[in-house]
Formats: sequence, C-alpha cells, structure tokens
Amino acid sequence: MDYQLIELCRVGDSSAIEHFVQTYQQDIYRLALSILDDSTEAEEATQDSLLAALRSLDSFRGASSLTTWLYSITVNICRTRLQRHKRRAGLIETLGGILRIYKTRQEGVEERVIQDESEEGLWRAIHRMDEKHRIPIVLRYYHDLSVAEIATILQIPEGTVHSRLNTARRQLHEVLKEGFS
Amino acid sequence: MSGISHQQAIQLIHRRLDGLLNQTQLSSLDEHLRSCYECSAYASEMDLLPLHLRHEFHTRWDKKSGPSQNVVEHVTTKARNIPAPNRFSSGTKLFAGAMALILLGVAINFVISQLQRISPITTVTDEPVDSSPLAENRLLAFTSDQNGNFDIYTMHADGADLTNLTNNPASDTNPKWSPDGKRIAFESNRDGFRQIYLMNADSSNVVQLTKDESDHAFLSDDNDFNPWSPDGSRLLIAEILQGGASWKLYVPDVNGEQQTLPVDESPTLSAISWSPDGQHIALQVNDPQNPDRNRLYIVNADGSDIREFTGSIRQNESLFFTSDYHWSPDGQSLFFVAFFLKTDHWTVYEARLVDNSLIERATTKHLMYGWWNDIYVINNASSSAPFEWVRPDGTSSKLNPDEKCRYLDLYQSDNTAKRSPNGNWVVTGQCSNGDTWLYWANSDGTQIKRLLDSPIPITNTHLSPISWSPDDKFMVFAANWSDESDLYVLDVSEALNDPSIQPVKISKSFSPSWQPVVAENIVKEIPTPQPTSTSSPGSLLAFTSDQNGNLDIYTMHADGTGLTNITDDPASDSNPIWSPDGKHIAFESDRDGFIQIYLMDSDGSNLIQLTNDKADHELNLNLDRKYNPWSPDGSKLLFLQSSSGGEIWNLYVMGIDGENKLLLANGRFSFNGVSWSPDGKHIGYVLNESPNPQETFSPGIYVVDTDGNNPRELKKYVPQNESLGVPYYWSSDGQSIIFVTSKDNGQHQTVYEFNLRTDTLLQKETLKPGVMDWQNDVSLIWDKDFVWQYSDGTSNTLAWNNSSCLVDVTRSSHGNFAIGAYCPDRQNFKLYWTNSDGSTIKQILDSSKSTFIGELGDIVWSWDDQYVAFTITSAKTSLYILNVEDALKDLSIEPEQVVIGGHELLYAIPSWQPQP
Repeated sequence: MDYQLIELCRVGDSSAIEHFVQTYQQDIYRLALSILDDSTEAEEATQDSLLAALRSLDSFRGASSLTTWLYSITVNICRTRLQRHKRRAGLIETLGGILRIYKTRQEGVEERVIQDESEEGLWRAIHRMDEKHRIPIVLRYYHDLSVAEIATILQIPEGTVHSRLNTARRQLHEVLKEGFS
Repeated sequence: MSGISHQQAIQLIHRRLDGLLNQTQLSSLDEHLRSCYECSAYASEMDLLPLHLRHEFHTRWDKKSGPSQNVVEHVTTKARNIPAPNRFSSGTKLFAGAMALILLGVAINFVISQLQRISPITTVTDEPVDSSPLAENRLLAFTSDQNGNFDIYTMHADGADLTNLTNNPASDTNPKWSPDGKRIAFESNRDGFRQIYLMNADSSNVVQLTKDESDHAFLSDDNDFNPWSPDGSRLLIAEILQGGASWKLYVPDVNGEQQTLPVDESPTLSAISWSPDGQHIALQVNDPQNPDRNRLYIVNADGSDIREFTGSIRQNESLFFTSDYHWSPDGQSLFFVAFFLKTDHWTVYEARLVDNSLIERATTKHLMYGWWNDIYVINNASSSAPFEWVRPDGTSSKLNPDEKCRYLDLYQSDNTAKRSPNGNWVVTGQCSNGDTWLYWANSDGTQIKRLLDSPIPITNTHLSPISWSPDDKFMVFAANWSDESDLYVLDVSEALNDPSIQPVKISKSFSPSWQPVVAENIVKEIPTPQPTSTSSPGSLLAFTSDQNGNLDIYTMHADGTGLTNITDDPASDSNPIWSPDGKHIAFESDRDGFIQIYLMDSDGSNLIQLTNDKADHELNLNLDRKYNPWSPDGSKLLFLQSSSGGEIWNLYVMGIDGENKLLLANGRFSFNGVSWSPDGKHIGYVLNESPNPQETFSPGIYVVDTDGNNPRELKKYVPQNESLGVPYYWSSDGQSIIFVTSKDNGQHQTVYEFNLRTDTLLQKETLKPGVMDWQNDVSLIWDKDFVWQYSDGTSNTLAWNNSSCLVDVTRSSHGNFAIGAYCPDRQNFKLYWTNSDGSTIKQILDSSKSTFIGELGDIVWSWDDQYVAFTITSAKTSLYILNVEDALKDLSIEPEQVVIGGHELLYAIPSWQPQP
C-alpha cells in the first residue's frame, strides 16, 4: 500500500491526487458499471466515489486494503444511486407517467450482445435480482472477490454473504436449467 | 453412500463454491458425490454456473471503455476544495502536562480574576444596542463597568432593555439568579468587605446576607456554577481567609442563618455544586500540600457525612480533574473525569452515593471532555479532526475543521467546548491566525455544523466558559484580555438557520447568568427524556434498520427514546407494519431461506410465521398508510407471493392466523398499489401492464371484492385514448374509487369517480398536468410550483420554481400535507406543512446541513398529525422524526435522527403505531 501517496493526498498535494485518481479510477469504474449497468451512471459514481474517498482518507485506518476500502465506498454510492432510481420510479408511478421523465436509456445496437437464449435468460434473471443478492454475485463472479472480501466491502457477516450467494445461485441455476431444457 | 445426507451434500456443494470447506468436508462431499448421481449432476451444474456468469459479465461489461478523462479533471478540480487536515507538532503528552498546569492554575486564576474585576474606571464606548423584540422575556444578568464602576446589569439576549440594577458606587459583581428567576444574589463591597447580597429581579428589596468582617464570594470560575440550592432556600458561599490563602464554606439560608461545611484547613476548591435533589454538595479539592493529587468529596447538605471518593484511585498516580463533572438526574451518582499524568490517560468515574462505590465507566488516551449517557467526547490531538464524539456502538463523529481554519487549535483553552443543559454542544476553535470559530453539535455528535460563516471578531484572547441559556436558545461567553472583558451573546437557534448573523457584544462585562423562567428546571440533565408527545405518549415508530449489521425491526418513541431491536435475528427482517389496533406487527423475514410473512406482538413476542410456501413473499409497501396490507378490522392481511422467478406476483388475502389463504389476482404489481377500501369490502390493486416492465410503467387499476369475486378493470370504463394514473383514492365510505387519467401525452388530466355499487363512472373535472393528489374537489398539482386548484378555478400556490427536485408529498389522515424536497442542484432540503387546501403553508424544516443532503424517502405522518418521519440517504440512511407541532412554532426545531442503514440498501418505510 502506498502510504506516501495517501499521506500526500491527505495534505492536498494535487499531483498525488491526480496519481491516486489515475491509479484507482479504472477499478472503481468497473465496479460501478457492474452494479449500475450504465456507463454514464458509472462514470458519475466513479467521480463521486473518488471524491468521497479523498474527503475521508483520514478515516482510512489500513484495517482493510485500500482497494477494499474504496470498493466499500463505491458500493455505498452505487446503492444510493440505485435507491434514487427506485425512488424516482415510485415518483413516476405516483405521477401516473404524466411527466414522462423516466426514460430508459436506449442502448446502441452495436452494444447489444447477441447471446444464446439461455444466457439472455440468465442476464434477465440477474437484472431482476434485488441488490441484496445481485451485488454479491457480481462481486464474486465478475470481480473475483472472496467471500471474506465481499463481507468486508458490504460490511455484513461472511455467513450472510454465503447465504445470499447461495440463494442467488439457486435462482440462477433454475433459470439455466429452464434455458437448457 | 457416505455419512452425509443429500441435504448436507447440497449445502456442502454451495460452501465449496465459496471456498469454505475444509479438507474433511471436501472428502465427505467427494465420497457422497461418487455414490450419488443426482447430487453429482447438481454439483456439475453448479460448477458450471460461475463459468456462465463470468462469461455473461465479461461479455457485457468488458467492452465498455471508461471512465473518460473527465473523471480525472473533475475529481482533481473538486479535490482542491477538500480541506487539508490539521497537523499538530505537539504530542498528547506535552498537552497533558499543559492541561495539568491549567488545572492547577484554576484557583490562582480565580483569585487574580477577582482582583482584576476591581479595575480602573473606564468610559462607555458601546453604541446603543438593537432592541428588536424577543420571543421570550428571559434576562441575562452580568457585571459591567460601563458606567465607570462595577454594577449588576440585566438585558435581553438581543441586547434590548439594558438596565443597571445596582447603580451603586461600590463594586457589585457576580450576579446569580435564584432558581425561580425572581431574585439575584451578588457580591458587593459596600461595607468595606466583599459581602453577599440578595435583591429582587427589579433591584428592589436588597438584603445583605453575610456580615462578618471578611471577604465572601461565590466559588467558581464557571458561569454555570450556581450557588443557589435547587429549592432556592440556601446559598453556597465561601469566606475568604488569610487574603485568599484559605477558604471556609458556608451554606446560609436566604434569611442569613448560617451553617458551616466541614471542609477546613486550606484547600483550594476547584468546583463545588449542589446535587439536583439538594441533598448533597460535591467538592473538588486541590490540596496545596499534595498538589498533584486532586480529591473529590461529597458531603450531605447539612454538613454531615463527608466522603472522599478519590482516595482509593491509583494511589501512586498523579490525579487531576478535568473541568467536567455532573450529577445524575436523581442526585445519586456523580460522574467525573480524572486525568492520570504518569500513564497519560483519562478515565471517567461514577461515584455512587448509595453504596459509596466508585465505578470506572470509560478510559481513553485522549483528552476526555466528558461522558454523558455512554457517549464520551474526546480531543484527539494526534488526529486532523481532533474533536470527536464516541458512541456506545463504537461509532464516532469528528469535528472536521474546514479550509477557513486549516490549523484549528481546538485545545488551546480548557474552555473549548460546552455541553448545554439539554445535551447540545458548542465548540470553539481558535486558528493560528487568531480567528475564533464556533461549531454546534447535537448530543451524540451525529449532527455537527459550523455555527457562523465568519469568525467571531476576537483575537488572541482567553475565553471564559460558555454558558448556555436553559432552553439552548442562546449562549454567552466572555473574551478576556489584560484587565478587560467583553461578553458575546449568540442566538444559537437563529445561527443554525442563518449563519450570517453576528453575536451581540457587550463591552466591559463579565460573569453572565441566565434567568430561569417559570417551570423551567435549570438542571435538565435527563439521560432518557420522556416523549414530548402529549396526544400520543405511548405511540411507537417501527422501522427497519441494519445498525446491528443485518436488517432487524426496531421500535422507538417519537423523541428517539426507547430504541429497541425487537427481532434481533441473523436473518433479514424488514417492512414492519402495525395492525390497526396497535398490538401486532406484520413483517417480512428470510429466516427460512425465503422471504416469508411473520406476525409478532409489538414487543417482538409471540412470533408466528404466516406463510410457508417455498417462494418469496411481500407485504405491500405501506405508503402513507393508503396501501396498508391490514384489513381495517385487523383480521386479515394482504400479501404478494412471487412466481416465475419474481416477475409475476400473486396477490393473496389471508387471516392473521395464516389460514384461509385466497388468491385474488396475479400479474406484475405496482409496488404501491394494493389497498383495502375503508369499509373492508373491496381490495384495489394496480398492475403494470406495459409490454416491457423494465422500461415503462402503464398502470391498470382493478377492484375486487374481498371474497375474490366481482373483479373489475377500471380501464374498460374510460375512453380508449386516456391512460390511467396512480395513486387512486377511496371515498371515505368505501363505495367509490377515485382516479386520474391522462391523455394527449399527459397534457390533459381527468378525475373520475367509479361507484362500486352501481359500476358507473362519473367524470369529476379536467385538470392541468401534474396532479399529485386529489381530495374533496381540491387538486394538488406540481409543475414547477405546487398549486392547490379548486373546482371554482381559484388556487393557492407554494412557489418552488424548480422542477429538478425529488419531492415527496404525503397527505395525513387529517388531510394536512407534508411536502419534502431534495433539490440536488441546490444541495438543499426543505420540508413544508400545509393544510388540506393549501390556504396555510408553513415551512417546518430548512437545512443545508450535510446530514440532510441526500435522497429523501417517503414521509410518513403519525396518526395524530403530531409527527412526521422520513428517511434520507446519502452515504448512510438516516431516519428522522420531526415534531410538527413544535416545528410549526419554531423553525429551528431539529428532528430526531437515527442512522438505520449503513450497510444495506434501505428502502424502508417506517410505520407508526396506531392509537385505538
């Protein structure tokens, strides 16, 4: 861990901050993208997460790795964004769709990945999953984190992580089975 | 077959996927899989699942490049505004020594300050003060030499009605209000010696209390020291002997009859105080014969039974008291902080009168300012944010000095921080350039803010201890230098709203004392205040929180007291909803692996699992209580059961014994659209009928009888070019359902009333877009402003002029509205109260405090309209409870705050306990 870099960031050294951002922005962006599944949102969340981290470097005590700590901040920020969407969706329902401000981003055709039926179903099932189960699955199988690391990031017991992975895997297994059958 | 069951094998397969098996378990599983085809096939499928998932994720996300270079630019630009932390060159030990010296010097300073008060006569330089009216008539008494000699003055906190009460050529000093606010005790040398006098608040009826030919004084350097006994019958007075080398303590009654306390010889008293019940007096003693060992005595008020509580503490250690010590409300315990010089640590002790025991409550290596109700406040000199509130759950909050005071030195003075009678804090910070900044914090430090947006215009002075008015509205302190002193009075409640205000300065003045007002207890140290609600004192709020690490159901009173985890289960317990009689709580829990519906009593007892199917279940969200799953008579519950992997949900009704489950409908339900009619005969629900549920929301409103018969789709009754909106409303008799449709791409809206007895539709009125609520022919419409539109064409408006805010509008059961809005572009949160037709609108919360910046959750009214509860989420989710009745009278009223979500995404709607 680069303590000198952290120390320089703490005192506001601009080149250190730039180096810090350059070093960690890619990992944070990948994490935000995998939770939010939207590149614009992920970029905004990356900015927010890096700023939040820089603001709270004093609270980083080195108990976990810096990356784990940054991931924890990022997950919280992404969850807030997800909640905002849920809230906004509720508002739109309340308004009866009248304001028409909740438009789904149209993905470019070139970005669409044509996959076989089973994986399309798998993706839909992941997408429909609540964050409680989806985020551990993403952290485990996209970011290849251990149960212990996920527990640290989500600040929940390891047993809970395992239980959620378990539930999610059962659901996804059912989807896969249907797809294959 | 091996020694493990199929079920155990399945569990081990999953644990193996997470790398959680030891060698023995792996062997057992392998052995089982070799002999069990079914389990082996399942294991193979599960082993393939991660491959599918990784492929899926990497295919989808790895192709997306990013982030753009904008991130670096944006973050580095904004990071320039992040304050650099403070650096202290001096260590804790150095400070500890300084602190000890400060404490040792208290008594000497006191004597010197007494002498300094007899200073040369100076001329009055102050301009007349602003005399704007006050909300209350509380007076501040103080000593001033504005007229050329020391006299006792009073004035209101804003500087109005300045009055010289004594106007005597002698030196009249050190006024102290009696507990009833009717009399003032003060010191005067009118007869050649400093004696204690009493007078009425209007200066009449002056009585000389001490008459011996020696000086007398009130013994304290702290403005909050009150020599009056709590019942106002006696006073604590010291007779100064040998020119101040020793003291003799008296407790005369107000008629002058004297009683001596058994503390003789020549101790230096650093602090003395009455217990709240008036039965005891505490004395902190610094003995010149043993200067590195302070002592604490407690003596009965009649002078009997003096007890030392410090004799047995670390006898080989140097022991010094810090400035704080305080009594428990019942007067049976005294809490004090001791500093041990050799081992360099601070410890808070509880001295218990009932058994003369001493209990160690907390220890820290940092300067401890005090300890209240398991929260201790420390000054960590090695931290960049040295002032810190540490809470019993291990969390803490720090006061982070900002860029305006980069080298904030919070510990130059032992008068840095002061806790108010009601638990709030003011902290002063002197910067290296001499500026002094003020900060405010609530009792546990969960809310901290800078009080004023400019420093107090004093430099390089010594501050006297801050004195809070008993209602926390005002604070006053003196800035001293050489032989002069000025008082500064700040309206704290006003400053919390408007940080641009300045404190009122009173030149050449010191020793302030706030007048108690009628029915106000000066000592308000109540660790567990009772609920302030008068109309529903027993009403509880139930809510979901993960403050213990996982989701549990909690209850507490509206004033934040009585916080109780009533489920305390490792599973996720959420979405509590009170039964109509306030005796039971229905909630969701995944303790059997699926989300099931459970029922329990209000204290968490008598837990019953109501649903058992191997599927997830949900209680519909109790938005505004309009969509309560409980039948009005409390005998049945509505719930949703998932099918098809959660895309389709089945709507059921069942008895609260879990029996008689009846399927009412299925489809993609709107999460806020299931409700009972007020008469309990019908159930309404909203289905999302859009072709793609992820992209658009096209509601269909349905009504079905409680027995599942007679389903009606309201869309069939409206013209085809109109689409339905939600929410819908029941008429009070439950015989009609009212809803709003829109057409022309939302440009026109129509209100309809559908009669359930006759199955007929009545068109009520046509409105502009943006209908948020409709009741009794009054529509609430939001475009850029909030407009209450009457059927006669007239309207009331709450000007808003911003459509980019996230708003929540909630109508109470009495028809009043709470309108909350978070406007991200302005980083501002506002909360308004309005009556049902918008003819009276009043703001009840306006704060740009960081704790209010975030996503506003649903606002929920208590059943008696006295409180609203709402959540705000930023990095964490907090539940706030605002006393609306109080806030309507005083905009500075702050809501109670409980952090309910730091670890989980929380979309939790709290539920108020009904009062039958």
